[in-house]
Amino acid sequence: MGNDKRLFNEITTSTMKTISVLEDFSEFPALRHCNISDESGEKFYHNVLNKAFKEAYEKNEKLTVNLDATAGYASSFLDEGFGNLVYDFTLDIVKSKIEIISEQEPHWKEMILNQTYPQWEARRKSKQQPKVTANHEAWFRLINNELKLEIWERPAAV
Amino acid sequence: MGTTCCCINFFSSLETADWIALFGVVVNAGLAFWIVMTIQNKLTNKRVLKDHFINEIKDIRNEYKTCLNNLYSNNTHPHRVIPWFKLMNIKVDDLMTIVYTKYKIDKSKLKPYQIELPDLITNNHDFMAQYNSDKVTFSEKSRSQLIKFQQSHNQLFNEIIIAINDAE
Repeated sequence: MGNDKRLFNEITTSTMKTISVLEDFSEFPALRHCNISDESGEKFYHNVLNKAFKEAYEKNEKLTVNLDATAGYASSFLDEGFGNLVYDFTLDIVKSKIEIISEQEPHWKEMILNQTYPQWEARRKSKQQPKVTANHEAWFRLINNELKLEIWERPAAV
Repeated sequence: MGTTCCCINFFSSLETADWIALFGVVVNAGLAFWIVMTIQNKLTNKRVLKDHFINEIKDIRNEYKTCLNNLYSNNTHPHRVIPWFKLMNIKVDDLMTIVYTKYKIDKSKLKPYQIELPDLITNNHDFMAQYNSDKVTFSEKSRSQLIKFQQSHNQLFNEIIIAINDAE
């Protein structure tokens, strides 16, 4: 019985990658875009989430994103971070491959699942490109089931 | 000496029926005393607990009030807003979960303060534009949005207090 449990745990952990906003990004997540705040949702997506999700997708793993233990969130930070993911990888794939942990403020998980996901999927279908406010390295996007690495958007010239 | 004699005479003159009646009186008196003490204690405990939760709700109302007053008086560092709301959200969740368990009061009652208010502030144009400043100054338009929010949701605290007070 103990061996079975250990085996189950090993299988589960070997097929699940976890990232935490606190450990992999910042204790003080800020607002939506890079041009208004340093630790923005845009930056989180481009520096952390896009790469982590691409790795999980390639290995056919599930990605767990832990939102707890930071100093708190603005809804715009999470909307931008997880919305971009839906835009680049489609709603069905994101839904099937991501697990969000938000024990301290459970309403953030509800918001991402019930508002951000459908809104950004609609945006993806209507080809409303996400706004980019800083220069980012190339990032991954799924095009016809194939991962492509490009700089898909640049900040609008002022 | 005379009193003792009188008592002995009194008790020796009682018949069986009188003893039963006397016993009944004593038992009833004891029972009445026990009931009054128990119920009174229970009622007191209930009242103390209700007062405690009512005070907690009042404290939370005051904390939101102070936060909004600081925002109106341009006295808030923008970076402190998000952590403050997280702290309040955890506090409100804890309290409303207990209040729900104890009195069956809707635990999502303060959601406007937990979700709408932080959204209103963090998505506000003035707040975003001054996020990296030391203090945020709200325009008249932004202030009136916050006042409108306060006006339309202020009664929620009183509704919870009434519900706690009226609960069984």
